[in-house]
Amino acid sequence: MSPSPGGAVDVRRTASTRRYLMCPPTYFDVVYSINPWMDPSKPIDPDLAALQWQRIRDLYVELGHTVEFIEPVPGLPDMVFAANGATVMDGRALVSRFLHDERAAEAAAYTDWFVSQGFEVRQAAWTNEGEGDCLAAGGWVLAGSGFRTDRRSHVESEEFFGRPVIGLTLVDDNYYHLDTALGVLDEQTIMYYPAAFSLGSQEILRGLFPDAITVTDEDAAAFGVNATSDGHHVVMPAGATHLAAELRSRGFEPVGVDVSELLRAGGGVKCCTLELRDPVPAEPETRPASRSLSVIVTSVASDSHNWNLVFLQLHLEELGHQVLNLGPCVPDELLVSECLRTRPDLVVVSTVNGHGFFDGRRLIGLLRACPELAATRVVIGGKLGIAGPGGRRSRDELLSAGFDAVFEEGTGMVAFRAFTERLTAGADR
Amino acid sequence: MSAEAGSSGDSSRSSGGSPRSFGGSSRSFGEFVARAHAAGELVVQPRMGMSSPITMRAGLLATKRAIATTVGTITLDSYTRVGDNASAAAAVGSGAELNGYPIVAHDLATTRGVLEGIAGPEFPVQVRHGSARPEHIFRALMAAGMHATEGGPVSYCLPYSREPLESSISSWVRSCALLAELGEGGGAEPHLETFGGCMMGQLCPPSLLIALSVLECMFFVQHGLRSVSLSYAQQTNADQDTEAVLALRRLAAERLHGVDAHIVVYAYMGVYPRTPDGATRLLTEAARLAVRTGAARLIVKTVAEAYRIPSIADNVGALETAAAAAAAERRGAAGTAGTARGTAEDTGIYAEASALIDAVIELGPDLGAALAQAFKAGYLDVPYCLHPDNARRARSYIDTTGRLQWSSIGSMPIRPMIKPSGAVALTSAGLISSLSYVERKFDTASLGEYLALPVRPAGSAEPVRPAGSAER
Repeated sequence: MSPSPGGAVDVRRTASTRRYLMCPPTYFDVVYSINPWMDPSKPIDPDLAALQWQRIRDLYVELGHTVEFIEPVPGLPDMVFAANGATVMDGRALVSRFLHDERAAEAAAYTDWFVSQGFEVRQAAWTNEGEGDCLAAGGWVLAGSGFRTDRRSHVESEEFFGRPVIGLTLVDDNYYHLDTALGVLDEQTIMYYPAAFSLGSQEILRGLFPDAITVTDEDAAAFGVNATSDGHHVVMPAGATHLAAELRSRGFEPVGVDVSELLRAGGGVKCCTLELRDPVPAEPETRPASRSLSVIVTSVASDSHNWNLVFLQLHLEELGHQVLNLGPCVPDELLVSECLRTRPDLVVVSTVNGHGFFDGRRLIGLLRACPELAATRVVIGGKLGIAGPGGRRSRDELLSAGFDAVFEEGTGMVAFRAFTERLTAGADR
Repeated sequence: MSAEAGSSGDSSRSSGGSPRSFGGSSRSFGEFVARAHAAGELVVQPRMGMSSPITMRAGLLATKRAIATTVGTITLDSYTRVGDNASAAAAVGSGAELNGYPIVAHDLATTRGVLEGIAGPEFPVQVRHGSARPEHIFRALMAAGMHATEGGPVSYCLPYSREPLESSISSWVRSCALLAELGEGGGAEPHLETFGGCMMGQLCPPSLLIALSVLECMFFVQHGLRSVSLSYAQQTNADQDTEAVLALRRLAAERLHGVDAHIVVYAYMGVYPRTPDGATRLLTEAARLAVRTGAARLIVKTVAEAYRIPSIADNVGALETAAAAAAAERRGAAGTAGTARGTAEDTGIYAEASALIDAVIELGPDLGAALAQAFKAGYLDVPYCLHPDNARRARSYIDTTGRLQWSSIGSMPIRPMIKPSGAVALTSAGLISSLSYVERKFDTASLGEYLALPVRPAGSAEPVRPAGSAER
């Protein structure tokens, strides 16, 4: 387990109410084996399974969430695992196409339910096992493949939801669905079991979620990450004790439940729960423990590019900040006078025409020459040189010229986001 | 779809024959295009511009010799565009490469030498520049004997400069007057094309694009031009594009009287496909759009677009691919008894564009002043454009069928006409995804099957595939 770089800080986590779809375990049983957890020779205790499922459902209601039900279908014992039925974002439902014939007929039941509820519905063209393999986090869709969902369906998800897909490869058949190896705690925070992923996917996860919680072998085997989170409360198997302690130290509130009987079919809390993400109003989610920054977004005088500036404005506004966007081709004097007039918390210089190194060096000198702006946070990012990232030397030169941070194309946005988070948490001052 | 699209279709090329023999000689750019159009040929045009006079001349010659009905292009460099002639001249002096032809920095004899024996009534050459204050450019091109160019007081101001809109408008008033004088002597008829159909390259819904195209051409006519062209840049959905160009043609006929006017389509101006096949298919779609809608001219993009400044050979390849695709589309349409041309579902583009145009016209008889006032009032509002004179309240998105829609109209007077879309405002992640929508659509080969599956609208349940039929 990694000692979290965020540390055991007093982050106040905020819960938001969710809408879940669940399927009663009326016909739940283990009569076939499509994953290593299933052993049809050992009988299931249906009453115990029902009790465990009921407890999860009751907890959701106690936590203030809405639970919808889909009618179980006789002969479909795995239908209780509603997470596998579809992926739902922004009011659009991409209904699953199951790999195994044993589960294929579930898709019709889920399709009918979503159509009857007024969702925009499509059934996946390629094998795709819903939220079992597709999880929303950080504005992306994290999408697993390797055992069930076909990689070609990742493209389909990207098109259907209009969100970028991050493909992740699973390599351990005990963790055959993404949601058995990775859990989303809030938009910025995930927990995962690294050994379930290919080396490349591990690297992607480290890059995108540097503050993620990584779980132990024991917690992974207890299906610890197969949990649901409302941003504060994490409903999870009681057996994952290390993980529960780690979550607590990060400001989450773990709520343990017994899922032993469900686990005999290879399912846990998350598997029983499909999140219905309705279209959200444009209002950005209020972020915990943060303050709103006033930010000037600008380009340099010689750069007429627009879309990078539009992107940064949207991104910063989504994080709850106030943005004054000066647009492209900003003359040096105009930037200085706007900074003096509005006294921003942060100035973001974004440029992609390859002159950023020279223009930036000149600009920061002018800003720092004003006593009022000597301590203002000023960062620069984009494509700063004409021949790709300029490396350490040009970065150091921009830093010593007076920039507080330099974000070059490539991993720049992840680092930029981390920088603004430190600023809003006040940790940087 | 791609069978006749490739440049390998020899039979479809043969119709290119002798593209310049329309009979008689054209007095102007507009007349050349009109003759070609009457003869059933789509005029295709590159975007090329080279800093070296030798290379520029070679580019024009290759364009002229391409197996297609072509007009030539001289695209200017960005120093000349912003009026920084000192930097352009310094680069010419030191032999440094610029990203276009510095028509002001090169002396007159040099530019005449580039055109000598190539440009003429049967091969008109247009200057493309991107300048919000183009007087110096107009003077230079006229001095060199050219009489066709493009741009506009709004379309070359808002997206690419910080020039106040009012100063761009007054500069364009003077520039139009300069150009119009040419025609009064009984010489060549000057031609001016609006860039209004492009605004930001992507994510601008068609009604605003065509309203700006029409308004800028009306502005040109008000300031003395008698030969103009109206532009429209290919967007994200072929059906929507068809409806838009047909609406543009109808509006041109209704709003521009007694002048020569034609429609020019731009091949997609946003993030371009990276695969040669994807880039070719996108260009082919643009050529088909032009033929289907009765446009007279097409400005092409090349397979190299996503990587680098295209070479002369890249350009010739694109011109010939587009001409072949246009010929194939024309033959196909001839086989279907005239129904192919001029039909598209009316989703309200024409009505929206008319309302926008009327709102500007009602602000007063001086169109320049009316345009400035319309932007101030937010009656015209280009989504995502950060220019200080743009209201910046309108926003747009790509819906699930690939059509551009408004998510916010700001103060534009089209409220009663827009359909409630239930759209969510575009997020930063959604923006990235939208900007690459066309690139992904054309680059992802495996998407073919996906696109063939209809989206099932809520409430129209149809049986999913029978249980057990799922592929492994």
